[in-house]
Amino acid sequence: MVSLYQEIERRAQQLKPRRCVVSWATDKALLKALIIAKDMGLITEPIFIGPDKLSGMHDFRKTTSMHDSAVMARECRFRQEADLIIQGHENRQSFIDCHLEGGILDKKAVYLGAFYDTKRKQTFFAIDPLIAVSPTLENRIKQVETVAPFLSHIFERKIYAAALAPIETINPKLPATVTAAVLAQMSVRNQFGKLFQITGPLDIDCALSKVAAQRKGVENERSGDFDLYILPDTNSSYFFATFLKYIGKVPTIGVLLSADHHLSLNSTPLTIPERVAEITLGMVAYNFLKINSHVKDIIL
Amino acid sequence: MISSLSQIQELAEATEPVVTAVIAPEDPEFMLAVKDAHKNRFIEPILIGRRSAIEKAASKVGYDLDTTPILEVVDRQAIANMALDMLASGEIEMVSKGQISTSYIYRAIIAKMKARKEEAVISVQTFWDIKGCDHLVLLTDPGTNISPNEREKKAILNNALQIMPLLGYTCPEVLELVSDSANLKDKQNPFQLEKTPVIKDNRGSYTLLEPRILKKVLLGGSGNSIDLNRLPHILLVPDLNTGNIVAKLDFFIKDIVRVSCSYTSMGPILLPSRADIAEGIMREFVFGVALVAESRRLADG
Repeated sequence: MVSLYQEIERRAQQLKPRRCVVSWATDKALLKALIIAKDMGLITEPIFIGPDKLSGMHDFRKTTSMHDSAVMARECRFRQEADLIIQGHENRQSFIDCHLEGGILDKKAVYLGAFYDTKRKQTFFAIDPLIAVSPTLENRIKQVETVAPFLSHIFERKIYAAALAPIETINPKLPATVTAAVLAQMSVRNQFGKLFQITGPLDIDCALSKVAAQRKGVENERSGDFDLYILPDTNSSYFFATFLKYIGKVPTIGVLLSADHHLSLNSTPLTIPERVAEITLGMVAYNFLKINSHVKDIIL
Repeated sequence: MISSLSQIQELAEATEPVVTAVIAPEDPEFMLAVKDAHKNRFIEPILIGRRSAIEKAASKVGYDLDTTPILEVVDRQAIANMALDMLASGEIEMVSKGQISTSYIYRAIIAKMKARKEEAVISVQTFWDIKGCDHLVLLTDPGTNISPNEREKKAILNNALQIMPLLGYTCPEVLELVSDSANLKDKQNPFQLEKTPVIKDNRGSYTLLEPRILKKVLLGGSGNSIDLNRLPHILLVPDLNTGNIVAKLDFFIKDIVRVSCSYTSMGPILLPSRADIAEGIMREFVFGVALVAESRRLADG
């Protein structure tokens, strides 16, 4: 069924089924996707929380409030009834707030967008369209520390990232160029591990086009073919994702990686295969945490 | 209303060549575009810069410079200043950047704007011709203002409103892009463009759309299917980080063709990137020529 995001699907094939709880489950398309995920052996029977029981919801818990739905989902996690919380058809911001004390995410939290390049038939990722609005350098380093091992886990190889900025040279007036340069140098020193290489700063044309990179003299072995794009801030990342999804028609999903909080956000609107892929990505992220729980710095 | 770059091409083809100062054309790829634009009678180039470097680049692409004037100037700032002097005086109608840092050109433009008692906010206008969209979409400013404040955003909008009527957009829809981020505090106080004075020469007004996330604009009321025709005519990007990255997504989205310029009251200033290849640079020449053609037509009444 899932023809997109083969790398994620391949990783999911080795997983033991987990249970998820769906908060404010009013979305029939999500229900169909969950049925498919269950048939694939990815999840067990989900817990559904919402105002109305729909056909196919075997374990249903009623509530008429979105807020209460989020609280009930969180309690399911605390009681270890469910491993992963999936956002249903509710407001994303209030959903996140309900699951986080005071709406504050830890500095490692990062929303990882996953895009499927239909031309290259390959998945690529980008951070961070939702969480760190104006990330500090420290903030960004911590996000990369979260993402790096997870992506190496998905691809099972070395990851090549482009740290984007408006220009490819370092200019203190443009903090994104400085952050990108620092991240790149840190990767040279293997501070994100030997399986994670960052090139930067790169402007978007040099990152996406080998020819453009050649013209500007910043050609890299992965120019035009990076696995991860580290965008300067939330605005640029959000619009990068939005324009790719809505104008470029690039299939787009994502997962929120955050210490102690396991949330799968609903990147509406999604096709059913995209929804299945998003649930799969959430499950891969959850299981990655389980196998790496002994490593303090690799917590999702 | 001009809705595609093919219509832009037709306009450019129908007009007389535009006398264009080309600043430091010292790269063969760029010179190839100058050669083609000249050969196809889009421009009458005047090349300004280091003669030896210009001749070397021309030689590499087989461009015979016998009938093309070269003004020998070595100092980079002096090159840019000379081009802007020529544009401001009406000696030429368009300027194009070659292999020179954009900062020299910006300094020259700002000096001219101040001398003309204009608001010295330069901005870049990037137009997208998107397959499936029945109009051109302008993104601004993806090139100069790092984090524009309210005054600068108004100036950026006014700059955009100078160029839109030339393309037949007399009352374009304007959307200031806001993101659907986890921290939406900024969205609670969206920039109040309503206070922006409509420019007074009666050639440009606009319809300001209520700040909404782009997804909702594109999905419309039904909430299910994307309609690219709902894209506003002008998208004001929040900052340089966003604008620069988004405007160049044509490298990824094959259904988009992009052209850019910085339009001033003196005329269009083309600022091709050093990464651009001849095809893209040529497209910008054609775009600038079409703007000049429409400007001439409007001036003639």
